[in-house]
Amino acid sequence: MNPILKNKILSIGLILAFILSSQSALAAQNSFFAGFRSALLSIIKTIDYWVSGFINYKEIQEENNVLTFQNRALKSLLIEYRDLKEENELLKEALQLKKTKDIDFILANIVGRSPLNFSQTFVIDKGEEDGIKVGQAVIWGGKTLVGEVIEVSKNFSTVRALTDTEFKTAVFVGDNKIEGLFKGNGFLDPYVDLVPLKEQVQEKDQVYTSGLDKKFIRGLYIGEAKSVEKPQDKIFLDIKIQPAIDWTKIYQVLIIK
Amino acid sequence: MKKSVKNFLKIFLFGLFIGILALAQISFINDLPILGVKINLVLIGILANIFNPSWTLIIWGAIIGGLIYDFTSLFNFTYLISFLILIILFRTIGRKYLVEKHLFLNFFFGVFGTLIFNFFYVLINYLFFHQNFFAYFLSWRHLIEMCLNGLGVFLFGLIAQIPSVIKANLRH
Repeated sequence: MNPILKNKILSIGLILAFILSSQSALAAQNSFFAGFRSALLSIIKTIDYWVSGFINYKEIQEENNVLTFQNRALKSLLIEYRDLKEENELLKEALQLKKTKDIDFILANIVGRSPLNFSQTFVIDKGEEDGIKVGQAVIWGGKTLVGEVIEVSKNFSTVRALTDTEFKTAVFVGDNKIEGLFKGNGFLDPYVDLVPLKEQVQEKDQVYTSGLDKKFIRGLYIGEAKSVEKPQDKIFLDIKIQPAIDWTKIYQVLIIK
Repeated sequence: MKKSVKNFLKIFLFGLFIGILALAQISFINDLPILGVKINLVLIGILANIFNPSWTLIIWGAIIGGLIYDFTSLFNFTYLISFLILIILFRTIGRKYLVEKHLFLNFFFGVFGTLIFNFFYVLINYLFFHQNFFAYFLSWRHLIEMCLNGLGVFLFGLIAQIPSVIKANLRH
């Protein structure tokens, strides 16, 4: 066969094949294949979601940390907002706000937690070289108190969580700023002690540091009252606290310099 | 020469076993309390092998487990000391009065071992480091921990007997 004629026939054949295939593809939009295709795509999409979830696990965890942080930040901001509303305290609160703005933080990762049922402590990857000192407040989620630094070595520090039996700090309870002493209670709920029976404390009242013990700055959020009881044979209220942060579930903390 | 290599291998493998138990304890077991109580895997591992003929083996296990615990906790070596006291007490006094070993005795080793270990941990911390853990020690949760650790030691003993049971059955 003449090669020119052969090429012409091949070209026409290719054009026809293209037109036919595109027409059949258009016709297939509503056919059985379309349903099959969408089912396959949805399966691939599901697999993709799972795989990318596994691959991006770290990012998702970090994002979750950031969101938790922001959530707690909003809660602590709420306390400040309410404080600012109080006319008599306006000036003092403005001063406090300025003070908190001047605070420097050190970000640290939690690298170990107490393994058994006794102490409620954890180890962070920042130490003396990073400016950590014994007694510094450890926070997370804005200004939510997590614990205090109790031991510092060159590159690591040990932090006592606020649920530890040895943890104590002066606090305010509720809008009326009732003074009390917050105490950790190990595996049991922490509580606020030294609040006289005559004081009006309600469930869900927020508890935050008062700064009166000169241990921590004022306004670090601790949690809310879980239950309030008035024991007949005692002179102080029995106030159990639900901490705002479960320290066993966080992986990073901020240390106030 | 061959015997010493075998002994070294035994000690190394036991150390590795206790190390893995300690790492499991400080990582995921920490987040999985049973009835509100964390079991003590290293203690279970050591108590299940407490009457092993080799002293070195047990001491080595206690050092590894105790140190890993101490590194993630108060870092005052009280876990290590408590493990060593427990081993010395069990192997000196316990061995003297133990006439015959039995699988079910493992449960009691677990219960009393937990009691002794926790007692010394609380005592040393209170006397030397001003840490007060008596509330936990005197609570009903401590009883649960004792039972759970006892069950753990029993299970470890049971698992250790499986190969010998299979061998005995194969002979018959």
